[in-house]
Amino acid sequence: MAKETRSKEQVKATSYWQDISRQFRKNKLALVGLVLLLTIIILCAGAPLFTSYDPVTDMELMDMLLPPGTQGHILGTDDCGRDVWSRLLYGGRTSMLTGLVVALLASAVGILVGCVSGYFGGLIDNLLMRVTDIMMSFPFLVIAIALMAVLGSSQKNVIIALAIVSWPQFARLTRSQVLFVKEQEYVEAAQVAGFGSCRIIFCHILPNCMGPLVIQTTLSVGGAILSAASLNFLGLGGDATLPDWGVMLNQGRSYMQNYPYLTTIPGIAISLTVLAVNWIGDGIRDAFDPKLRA
Amino acid sequence: MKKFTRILSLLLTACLLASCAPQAPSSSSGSPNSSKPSGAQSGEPAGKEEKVMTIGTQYSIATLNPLKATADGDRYVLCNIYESLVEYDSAGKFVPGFAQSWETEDDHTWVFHLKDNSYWQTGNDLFKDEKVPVTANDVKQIFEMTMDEANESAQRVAVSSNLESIEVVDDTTIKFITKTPDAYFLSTLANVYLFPPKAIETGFDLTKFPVGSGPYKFVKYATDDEVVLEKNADFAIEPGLDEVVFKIIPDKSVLAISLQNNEIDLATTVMPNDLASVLAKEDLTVVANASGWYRYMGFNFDNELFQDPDIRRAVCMAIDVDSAIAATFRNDANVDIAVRAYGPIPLEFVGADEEAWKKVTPAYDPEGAKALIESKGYTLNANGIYEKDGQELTFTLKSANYDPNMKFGIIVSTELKKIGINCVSQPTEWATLLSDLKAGNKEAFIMGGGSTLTGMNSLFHSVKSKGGSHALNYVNLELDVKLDQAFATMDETARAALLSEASCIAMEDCAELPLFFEYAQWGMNKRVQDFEQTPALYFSLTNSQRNITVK
Amino acid sequence: MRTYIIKRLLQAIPTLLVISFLIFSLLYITPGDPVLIMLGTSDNQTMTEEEYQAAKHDMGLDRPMLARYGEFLTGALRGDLGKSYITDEDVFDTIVSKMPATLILTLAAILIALMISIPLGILAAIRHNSIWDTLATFLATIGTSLPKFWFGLVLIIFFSQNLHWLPSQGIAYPLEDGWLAFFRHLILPAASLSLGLAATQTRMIRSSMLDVLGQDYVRFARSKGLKERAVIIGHAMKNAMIPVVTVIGSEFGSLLGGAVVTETIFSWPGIGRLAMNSINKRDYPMIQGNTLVMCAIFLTINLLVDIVCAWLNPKIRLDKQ
Repeated sequence: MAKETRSKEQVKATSYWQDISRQFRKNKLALVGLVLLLTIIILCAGAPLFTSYDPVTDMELMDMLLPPGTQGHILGTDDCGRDVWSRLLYGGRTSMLTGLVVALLASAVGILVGCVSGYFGGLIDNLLMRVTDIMMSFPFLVIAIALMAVLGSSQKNVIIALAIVSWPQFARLTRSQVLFVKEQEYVEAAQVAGFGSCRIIFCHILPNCMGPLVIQTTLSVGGAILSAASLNFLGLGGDATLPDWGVMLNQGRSYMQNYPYLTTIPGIAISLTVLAVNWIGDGIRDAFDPKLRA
Repeated sequence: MKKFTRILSLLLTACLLASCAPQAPSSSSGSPNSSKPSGAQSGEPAGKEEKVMTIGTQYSIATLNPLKATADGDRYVLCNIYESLVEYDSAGKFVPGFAQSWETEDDHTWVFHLKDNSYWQTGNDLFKDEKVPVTANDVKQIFEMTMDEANESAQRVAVSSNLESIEVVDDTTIKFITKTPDAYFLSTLANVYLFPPKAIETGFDLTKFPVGSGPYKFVKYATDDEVVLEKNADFAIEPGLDEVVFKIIPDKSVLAISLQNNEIDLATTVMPNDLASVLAKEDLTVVANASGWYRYMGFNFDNELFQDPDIRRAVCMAIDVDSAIAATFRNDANVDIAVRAYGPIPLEFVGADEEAWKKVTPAYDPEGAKALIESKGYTLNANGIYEKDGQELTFTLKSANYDPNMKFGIIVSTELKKIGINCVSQPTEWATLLSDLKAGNKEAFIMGGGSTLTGMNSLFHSVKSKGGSHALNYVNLELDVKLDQAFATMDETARAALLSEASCIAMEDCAELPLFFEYAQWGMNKRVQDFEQTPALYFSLTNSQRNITVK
Repeated sequence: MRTYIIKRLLQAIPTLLVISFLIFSLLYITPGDPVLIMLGTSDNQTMTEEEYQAAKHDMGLDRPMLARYGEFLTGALRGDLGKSYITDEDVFDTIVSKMPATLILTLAAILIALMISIPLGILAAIRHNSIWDTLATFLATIGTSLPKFWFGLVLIIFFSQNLHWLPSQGIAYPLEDGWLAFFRHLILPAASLSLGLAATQTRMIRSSMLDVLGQDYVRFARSKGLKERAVIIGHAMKNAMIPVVTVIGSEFGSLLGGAVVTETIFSWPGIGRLAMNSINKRDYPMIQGNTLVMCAIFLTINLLVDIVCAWLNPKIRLDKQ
């Protein structure tokens, strides 16, 4: 089976990717996920079209904590009297950006390190893996605070800090997959055929360990959004008056008993995004899976 | 395949059941808190029931070393194990401790009359079962040891800076002579716990096992979990409790829930949003702290922008402090948690003068603020922000990263944005904030502080506030002179007048914008007796003023 | 294999040296000052410059960084990690004393996570794209996109405040307080901690099972007429566990480093709170000690993970250069 894939690909390299995109389109849940994600992106990017409130300056202290469904405030107001719907829309801009970019950046770095480490083994492997061990055992808070001191506070630095602390997990996972896949017959065959390491890694090994990597990437989106908020509270983020899903969740924390909507609304927004990304991820995973392509 | 699914679902159910199993017997046993009883349920055999009070505190304990402890959480425990010469309640009044009474012979000389019935606690490795009285000589030795660099006491500098000499008159009389007149010398003395000098001489580790002469004896400390104290039967007054447990509960919401579950009897703080659910329970109540904690918005005078008094004034005028207080402290129980501050001295303290402050502190007037800014040559740009010579009117407002300071920071910076000042709110991690403030790495900041008797010095005195966590870098020599005079004035009325004048100078200059005095709310089970009069924990549970017990 | 393990253990020495230097320099550039914190943890306290300098001297912080590092290193080589600035207690002893609480919580959380994720993950894989599969994805999504404090508080509000079934906070020890009390205090924190892990694991197991179920040897086993159950347990599971074991390894390591949020909410006296308190108070010796111990833990766990992976699939050869 696997050998079939390889020979197909050798004959006609493009057909492999076309095949994958066709497989993806056939997967209904993946399409639902894509539509959901696009809807969220459109709502957030076009925020001014869907709300008349400014998420920051339209603060009416006397109208605080109005419940969802109140006239003029479809999702109610928060603890400073700001419209929750408008903060949700504008907040999605930073949160989605942070979540997606961190997940992609961390997985890209981690996968690269993991592939090199797992494929070449020996000294390189030992060196890279000890670096990941070191990175994993560093206290996150200390890295974050130190980075803030060196780089200053901004949303960009939040993304950098999060990517720095989250890549090692990807590296370890990729490495363990590569170690497994590289012993398969088709990889050995490719080595015998004299293909370059780069080509073997990216064309033969990586596609066959996509499953766990896609899962890890898609699941880390939610975590990144939440961690970004905790960095915001350390002083690493930008202006605290600006909306952000994670920040909204944290600010609603002390209202969980009496005004639970302050935490559930941003919670649902994050969950929906992660769900959409996961469905898309499943689609990508299944599309790469030669066994399901019959 | 079907069979497999069935087996699998069976497995799943089994797993779920297994994970639930331990809780099954407990729910059938009926009593909700049978595992760790607070108070009477502990199952003592017939006879007198043990009186146990459990205090839930959100503070972790840093150290139980009497020489080094400075944090609230540490002092809550230690003030029950150790006595001090005098104690002060949270409203700034001094009450007898080991000294029954005191008087001043002149502006420099303080005479203390000591108790003759205090003994070092027994039943430990230091004193075994021997009842050793605490004497005037011990007190002298304790203060000498405190000033000795080798002992690294946290009170060393504070004590030695103004203490000239100590004279033992007889076993129960001792004299302290100061270098300069010091109206609040007692507050320096109150911070020094009377630890047994024998411990230092023999190298006994007081951190591991504190031994003092106070109403309660140390039993055990499980790090980050709980401290247990027991009654000291040899104490002059019979303590009202058999056992005191300090339970460390770092999350404030959980603190309130534990109180509602009767897992604790006293909670060090109840957040505004938990007040209603606490008060809804028949057996619970809340008690306000005896004095307010002052919070303000300060400017960094080293910053060019804030050297202009009109800009400072305009910023102050743009902030609707009353509404911000109402929004921050609003609660369903309608408890008043904070009052507007017009000046920097807590209203319960000497020198507070609300009427005088109201005349000089800028009132809320956004239009006036705009006019003032425009008179400085600023114009609104396309983004709705004031601009002069291509420079936007912008600054960063730092605050601690917890409420109410953080929420106030957000509200204040939003209000400034509304009138065209681009104020960026930046909640900052506490340790970073403290060193930023000390190093001058700040533009404007929201801080709490100065709610001690000598607070005015640390807020405004150009020398004494330098490098501290309230450093405005504000220099006003007239104010300095007034403060020095005030703290050297023994007469209370004269001192009050001087402090009031000093605070008015600062307010008129818009050195900072006073925001509010917060009255933290204690959560209390009604079975706790005698706590309401002096609601404070760095004031011992049993002393000449109160003897806390449970019904 | 034995030479491989010995070689890996030897590598720990330079790794620990590097991390000790890194954490030392990182703390050097980190803003925050242990002296300020020690002299005033409440914002009502104030201090003069003289008091500040005196305290700084007492803590030895007025000496140059490299001198302090040298001292730390010579101490560490002798197994002495120094004394905490704040509590004055031995760093190593403090960390060791917190380990049992953290270990119990971690093991319980991982156990619960596996009990949920293995059946659910396998079910989702063999019923690919069925309602079970979608349900598993839903649960996993919620598990990773809501913060830990949310789960913790919801569990406390529900089981403790409303139902009065379980205590809201604290730890109990089986020998002192009895097994019942021990489990009653353990359930809520372990459950809230396990959710995130269960979510990731369910998805991971589902995906690996899908990978493996299509492999030649599984098809071959099926075609031999083996029962489906035997195929899944005997052939598929073992290989599917490789990514699962890797992720558990990483998670186990970081959980041993402490689940800060869960420990804080449930007042659980573990490593996480120790680490957070020491960072908040800039207790340098404690942070350094903690990081070194954490690094040792990660080195050990990752070695174990590599060995387990090699055992799961004998084709993986560890000692090949």
